[in-house]
Order: sequence, then C-alpha cells, then structure tokens
Amino acid sequence: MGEEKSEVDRHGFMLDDECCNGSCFILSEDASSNIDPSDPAKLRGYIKRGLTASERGIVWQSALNAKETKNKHKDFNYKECISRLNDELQISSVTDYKDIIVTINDKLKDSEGNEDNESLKTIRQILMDIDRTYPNHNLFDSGSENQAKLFHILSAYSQFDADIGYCQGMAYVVGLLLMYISDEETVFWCFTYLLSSKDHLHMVYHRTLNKVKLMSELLTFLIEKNYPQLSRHLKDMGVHGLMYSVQWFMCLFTNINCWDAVLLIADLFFTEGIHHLFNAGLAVIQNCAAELMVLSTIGEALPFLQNIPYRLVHRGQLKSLLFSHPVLINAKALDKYWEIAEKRLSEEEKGAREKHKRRQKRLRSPDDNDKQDIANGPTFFSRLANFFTPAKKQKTDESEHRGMPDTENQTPPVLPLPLSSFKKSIKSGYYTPDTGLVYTSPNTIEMKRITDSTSRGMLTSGYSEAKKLFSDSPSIQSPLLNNVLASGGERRSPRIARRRRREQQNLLQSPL
Amino acid sequence: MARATDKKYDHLFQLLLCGDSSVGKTCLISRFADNEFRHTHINTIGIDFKLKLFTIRDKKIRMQIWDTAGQERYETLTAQYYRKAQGIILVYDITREETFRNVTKWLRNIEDHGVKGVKIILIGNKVDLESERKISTRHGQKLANQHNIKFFETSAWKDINVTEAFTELAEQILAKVESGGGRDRGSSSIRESAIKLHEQQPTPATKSHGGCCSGGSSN
Repeated sequence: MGEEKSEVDRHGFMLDDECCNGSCFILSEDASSNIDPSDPAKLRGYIKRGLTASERGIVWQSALNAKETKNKHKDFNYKECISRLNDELQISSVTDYKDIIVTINDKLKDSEGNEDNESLKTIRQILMDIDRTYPNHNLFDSGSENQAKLFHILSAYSQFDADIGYCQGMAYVVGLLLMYISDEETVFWCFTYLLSSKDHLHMVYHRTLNKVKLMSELLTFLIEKNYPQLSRHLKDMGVHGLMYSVQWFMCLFTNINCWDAVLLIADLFFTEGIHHLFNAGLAVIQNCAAELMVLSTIGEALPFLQNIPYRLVHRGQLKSLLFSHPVLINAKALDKYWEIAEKRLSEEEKGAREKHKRRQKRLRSPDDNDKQDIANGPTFFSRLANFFTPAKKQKTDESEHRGMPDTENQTPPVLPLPLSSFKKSIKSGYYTPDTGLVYTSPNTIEMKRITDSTSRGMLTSGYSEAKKLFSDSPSIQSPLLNNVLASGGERRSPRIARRRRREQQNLLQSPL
Repeated sequence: MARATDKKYDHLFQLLLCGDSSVGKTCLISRFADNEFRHTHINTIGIDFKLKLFTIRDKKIRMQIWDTAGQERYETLTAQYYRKAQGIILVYDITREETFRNVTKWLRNIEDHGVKGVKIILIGNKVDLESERKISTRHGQKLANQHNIKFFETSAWKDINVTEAFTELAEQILAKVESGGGRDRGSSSIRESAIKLHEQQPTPATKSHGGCCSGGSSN
C-alpha cells in the first residue's frame, strides 16, 4: 500500500476510492484563533464554523478531561505499564509486530491453561487488529509510530480496566484521537475518560454489548417516532437497527464517507455528549430516507446503509441538520429515551425468548411431535379451535424482504407431515371426512385438504385463508367448521364446547 | 413453481460465515462475491452483508451472505443471524492451531443458535501460507468427517477452492430445498404456496413440500 503515499487527501487518507471526494469544507490552519475550550457557548460556534486540526487537539483534550482523569487514577502509571509490557514481549522496535505475534503464539502453546493466557490472547488480538485500523491513512502505515501508540494504548487500557478489556472497534476511536492529539499518554487518558463517562461511551464495549443493543433500540425508536413511514419500510424489508448502527456507535461514525462529517460528529459528541450520536444517526437516516424508500429489499438497502454515498452524508448535508433540526434530542431528554428503549428492548427479548422456546419445540422431529400430540395432546376440539385462531397477519413477501434476524412476529413455520404420520393422524382422528380436512399439530395453524384420496393435497394456513377457502368453495359444508369460522376462531364456552365435542365424535365415527 | 416467474432468481439462500477473528472470513466473501482481495481491509464490527447472484444447474440462486465479527463478545449480536441461515461456512486458519481447536466451539454455537439440519461446511483458509502450516489437511478432513460435514482448504488470496466451497454449500441447500427436506425454508415455501393456492386456482401441491400429506403429492 505504500507506493502511492503521496496521493493522500488533507486528512491523510489515501485517495484510492470514492471517499472524501471533493472538498466540502476547507479551513486553513491560518484561521486558527485562540479559542477558549472552556466556554461551551462559544465552543459550539467554533465547531459550527469548523475547527482546524490544531484547535481540534486542544478542544478534545479539554473536553475529555485528560488531566483530571490522570489525576484521578494516580495508582495507575501509564508509562510503567507500557515498559512492563515491552519487557514482557521483548519489544525493541515498533516494526516487529509480526514477530511478536509469533512469540505470543509460542508462549501460549507452552502455557496451556495458564491464567496469563487471557491477557496474552487479548494482546495478540490487538496486534492482529492494528494492521486493520485505518489501513488507508498515512499515519497508520504498517510499522509506523502511530501503530505502536495504538498498540500501547489499547493494551494498557485492557490492563487498566480488565472488566472491559479489549473490544474490536476501540481501535478506531483511539486512532481518531491519535490523529489530532499526538501525545500517547494524553490519548490514553482521554480514551479512559470517554469509556468511563456516562455521557459518552460508558459500558459500550462491555462484554455483553447490552449498551450497544440499547443504543440501537433507542435510535430505532427515534426513527420510528420521527419517520414512521421509513421505519415501517425498513421493518418490512427486514432491516434491523443493529445491522447498520453498531458500527456508528462503536466506531463513532468513522465509516461515514466524509471525514469532515466524521469530525463534526466527533466534535459535538466529545464536547457535548452521547445524544449527538443519536442525532447524527437521525440526520444520516433523514438524508437517506428518500433513497431508502425506493429500495425494496434488504439486499439493496443494507449495502446502501453500510456504505452511504458521499453526497448524502458530507459535512454540509449533516451540518444544517445537526445544528437546527426539530427532531434533534437534547441531553435532558435522553433519560426518558433510555427508559423507553430499555422497556422496548426487554419486551423484544422476552418475545425472542418465547419464540426460541416455541422453535425448540417445533424442532423436534415431526414423528416425535406427532407421538406426543397423540399421547398427551389436547382434545380434538381444542386442537380444532387452535387451528382457527386468527393467524397473525400473513406476510406474502419473501424472506428476501424480511432479512435474517427474526425480529418480527412471524407465524410459526408449518411442518410438513410425513406420510406415516399422516396415516396415523387419520386413524387417531385428525381427519374430518366431511370437509376433507386434516389437522396436524396443535401449535400450527395449518390444515391440509384432501381433494382426492390419492395424490392431490392442498395446504393453507391461518384463519383468514381458511375462511376464504371455505367461502370460495361452497361444496365444502360443515356446520362445525362454519361455527368455528363464524366465531372468528375463538374458543366457545364450555357448554358449547361439550356440544361441539359430541358433534365431533359423531363426525369421527363416520367412515373414512 | 410459479413463484419465481416475477423474480430474477429461483431461490434465495441465506449463508453465514463464522470462525475466529482474522481467519479470513471477510476475504473469502470478497473473493467469492466480488473476485477481489485486499491486503488491507478493516475488521468487521458487528455484522456485514454481501449479495451474490449465482447459477447452479440452471437455477438462479440469490445468496445473501452475512459476515460476522470473530471476537467472542460479538457473539451476542450475531447469534440471532444464525437462526435463519440455511448454510453456515465455518472457517479456521491453517497457520493457527487455536483457530482449529475453536472449530468445536463454533459448531456448538451453531447447534445452539442455528436451525436443526442447517448445512455446514468447514474451510481451512490461507493455504497460500504453506510454509507456516500448523494444521494438516488430514486433521481438517478428520474433524469434518467426525461431524459429517464437507471440508475444503482454500486461499482467498490465491483464489484457490473458494468458489468450489461456496458452490458445494449452495448445492447442498438446493438439494435439501428441492427434496422438501428444508424444514424452515421448506415450510416458508409451503406458506407461500398456500397463499398462492388460495389466491389463484387450486393447483396440485408444489414440489416444495414433497413428503408431506396426501401421499407423495407430486401429482
């Protein structure tokens, strides 16, 4: 990658792809003024105008309380930690990372099951990721000083806070800081502050990643609230918030195709707090809305959202929204939104757990299922009533439109019944001769209609389909079914149920 | 049967790649979907997504390929994607023993989160680094045999065996779908055909639910 080193933009990114084409925003270093980072009102003005690279360093250090954080953690000596690390790994120069990985691998092999393994593994993971962090930026060339700094800061942090450790994605944030604050230790303390501040990235990289899920849910809620049509459309396509927003939150929008826009978001986020991440998400979504609405499948929408064209997300586009748009949320409102998101998430997870249980049940082989149903299943009538419980709104679109994760309420899939079970079913009374309907299992809303006894079968699912089928085919007549259908699939009172059961038995006694 | 007439493809398959960090999952996808290899690429955070249109036996297959982050803590975000994958590509790096040892862990994950009977193939990637090889082909094959899955050794960089591996998986899924054994996917085609059936004229049951009621149903 080194050969075209001269071809970099003013931020230091290689000019090899479409990112950052054109200069939406240029502020020369001469514009630099003596800004006072401690005055929030003025600071906002400066950010709106745009910060120069040197101003940015000053502003970020001050906003992220580097000095205070260092003073707070007097027990942790960063320099000592790094020299210990270097001794341990026998690092002499910054260019021999590949060798270090080999050394670590050998060490790990020798010390199988040792407790130190975990921290060695973490360090190896960091080493592997360093080459994959801003590979297209000239500050992060292989073997560069900045890669060494990145490695030091991430390794030190993993020892400083063993609970959080190292999480992929952190390197982008540290790298972002390193681009504008060159002192390694200052960046370490800025990063430490970011990860401890509730207004910033507290818990975001925690092992459970629960905070990320919560943030994604919050953004989803805000989109739903402000752009209901788009939100519905995304849902219909099966595009879930987690599919596109994880990178935004964990890498601070550094995957956005305009570095000036990335910096604007970072400036606001570092100085004012986490609500700006949601605002940035909303602004990006709002800019993409029109184009998203004309896409119809997840296969089109997701690649689009994961690599949004420059023209929709450049600094000028986002700036007007980020400073004045009515849908923006402020820090005060955030508590309320966290609560809402938490509630929504716990409900969703509860639903998912139940779905998982149902799925496990369904996953038993059909034969087993069948045996169980016959052995201790509910009575025939209750089965029948179950079958006609109104199905959840049937979606006619393909799973192409739905996407992978099971985020929506879906009708449980229907298991095809093997022939042997089918025969058994007929014997055990799943079959009603007058309608030609065969019922399979109590959890499914399926019925099979035998149009002729040898080879033709027909399937339908759900109450509405069943109803339509019957109204379309006047030849199928059954008082019992008509009643069930007329009731909308509701169960009847015990008295009626008893009567139905009697009718039932009469039906079953008639010859097949 | 009739369901694909208005679409540009006959089947939609959902594939998922998993395996330890840095074994080359993203590179394998880039090689297969775009026929490119980048020495410098960024690591996958959360989940990534690629599409590939692909033809097997005159059937147009649209593949949605999901790429997952390899670091352990991301499993909590990626688990839900296992659920709908019809095929899973499990990758290890032949130059790193640990990634091979973890294959069993990943197989357990698939068992926990994936659908029953999901098609799996095992890939030992980076055969271009033969001199650094730690896991012999025989070992890989043996593990695959134990779990009754197909095994490939590939190189995303030198483009060795990549298409073959994806094709094999697609073939397996296609065979399953066509035989009607694809339970989850099969069932969704049943739902589809059911809807079609009542919308249009009652036609004989489609191929996609062979083996179910009414004896063979293939008309």
